[in-house]
Amino acid sequence: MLSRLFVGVFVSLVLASGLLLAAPNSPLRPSCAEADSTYHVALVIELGSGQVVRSCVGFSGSQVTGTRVMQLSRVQYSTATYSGLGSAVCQIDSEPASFPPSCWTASSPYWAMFVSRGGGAWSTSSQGVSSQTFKDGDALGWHYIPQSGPGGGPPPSPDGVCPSTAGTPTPPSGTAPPGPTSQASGTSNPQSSAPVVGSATTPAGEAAQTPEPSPTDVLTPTPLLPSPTAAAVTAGASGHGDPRNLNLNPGWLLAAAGMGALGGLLVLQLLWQALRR
Amino acid sequence: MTTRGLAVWSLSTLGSALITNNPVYRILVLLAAANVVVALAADRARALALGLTLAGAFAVALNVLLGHSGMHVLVVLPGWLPGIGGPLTLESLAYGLDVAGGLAAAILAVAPLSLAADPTELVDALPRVFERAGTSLAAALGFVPAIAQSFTAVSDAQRMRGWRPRGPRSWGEVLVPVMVTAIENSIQLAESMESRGFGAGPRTRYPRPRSSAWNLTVPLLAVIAFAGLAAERVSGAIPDWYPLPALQPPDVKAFGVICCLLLGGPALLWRSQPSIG
Repeated sequence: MLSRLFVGVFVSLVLASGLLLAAPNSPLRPSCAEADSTYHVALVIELGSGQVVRSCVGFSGSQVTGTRVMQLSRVQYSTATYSGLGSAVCQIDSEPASFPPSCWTASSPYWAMFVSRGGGAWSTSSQGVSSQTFKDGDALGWHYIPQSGPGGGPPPSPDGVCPSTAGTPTPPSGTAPPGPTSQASGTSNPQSSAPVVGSATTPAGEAAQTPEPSPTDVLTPTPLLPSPTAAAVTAGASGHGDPRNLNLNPGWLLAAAGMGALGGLLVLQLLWQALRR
Repeated sequence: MTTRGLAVWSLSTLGSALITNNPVYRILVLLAAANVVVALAADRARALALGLTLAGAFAVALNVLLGHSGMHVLVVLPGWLPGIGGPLTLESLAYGLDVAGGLAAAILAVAPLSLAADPTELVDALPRVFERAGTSLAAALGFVPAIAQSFTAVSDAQRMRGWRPRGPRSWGEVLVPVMVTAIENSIQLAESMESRGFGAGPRTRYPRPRSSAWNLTVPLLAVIAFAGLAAERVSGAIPDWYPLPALQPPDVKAFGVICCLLLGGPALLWRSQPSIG
């Protein structure tokens, strides 16, 4: 009798698990929050390391801005505003770790934006990401390229990232190169492994309430790849708040001593000059 | 202290202030240069300090009001304000302070050349190759205060004759005499230089004062400091510091701090010297 009860409970659990996994919005299944979206834009991001991340972003309405695509993708990104041109993307997935107000320096790499219309080839964008609009079947591409020398050019083709038939949601196709790419974008982060097809529960979903971002958006929902830089920044940030992680850098100690010495000497000199008068 | 040594120190300090945007290094260079200015020309540094304060405040205000980047929003100005409307962030404030610090350090680095050295001594300190170009440049620069004095004298004289500024055309009564005076002065200068044999052949010169070990030490330390910072910059040991997207402490190396501290040498070694030799 007891064994039948166990068997019954076990079968029930298996069935319940199956139902959960099969449910469209199940947290255990790669979620597809915009699964019922009629329209899709492919998003292809080639990082500086050569790793490629592809995702299919669903949206409602006849067209969507590039900024909205980035918001819906839940990819971490930051922008700077250029009057007349719209926003420029300065950072994607914490690459680079920091950037100047002008977005890039005279020699630093930058995020080049590419646009594909209706399954066509990539073309460079003459407008900022906030001014560029996309329709169903279009694609938005990013490539972190140097300002000069080899390594430029568009990211890999967006073919196959989104379903060819409108209205059929498709999970992201993972990553192109073998090895760490597929691991990084596919399995390392449960949120990013989910189809980045807009989620109502993420900050991107909150941002969806506003049609356009503020002059500078810094969305930090989900890192695409577990980059060492991002990890270092996180560790550094936590280290400031936690005294146990306080790491006294000899450079900082010496700088503090030097500032104290030079500042003290300056004050003494000024006092001496004042007394002489 | 020799003029040539002071020029070497100034150029090395100027290069050190501009070679990196690391705020810690810039503050150290700023303090070192301020000490040297106070040690050599404290009585003439008050106007400079006022000018630097105004320039620094302008740089900070410009960055805070126009750079709406960063995660930590301090105040949000209404969007209808042209240019300055939007979030004012802590990161923009930090970057503005960094820019102001670099500006002040650069100006203080070259200030001793004008505050503590005579222009003729600077021309004498130039290598023989640049002697004629330096003389011409010094003569040209010498006309700037002369024209300013002439402008004041002519406008005062015209006022005493009943002249009052009444629109752009009335200024001709001041500008024409000023221009005529300037041309007369330049002709007189050219004739006096020619009568002293300028350009006629090898120039006789007073024997240069022999440099003491102390006088050689300061420029040598300054060159070593600049070379050390440049080497760290080229090798990537001193990365660029940008506060975006979130404010982060700069990376400080003990070697770079020592290089910056070496620039404060003149404040200790030259302060007892009564005049420029």
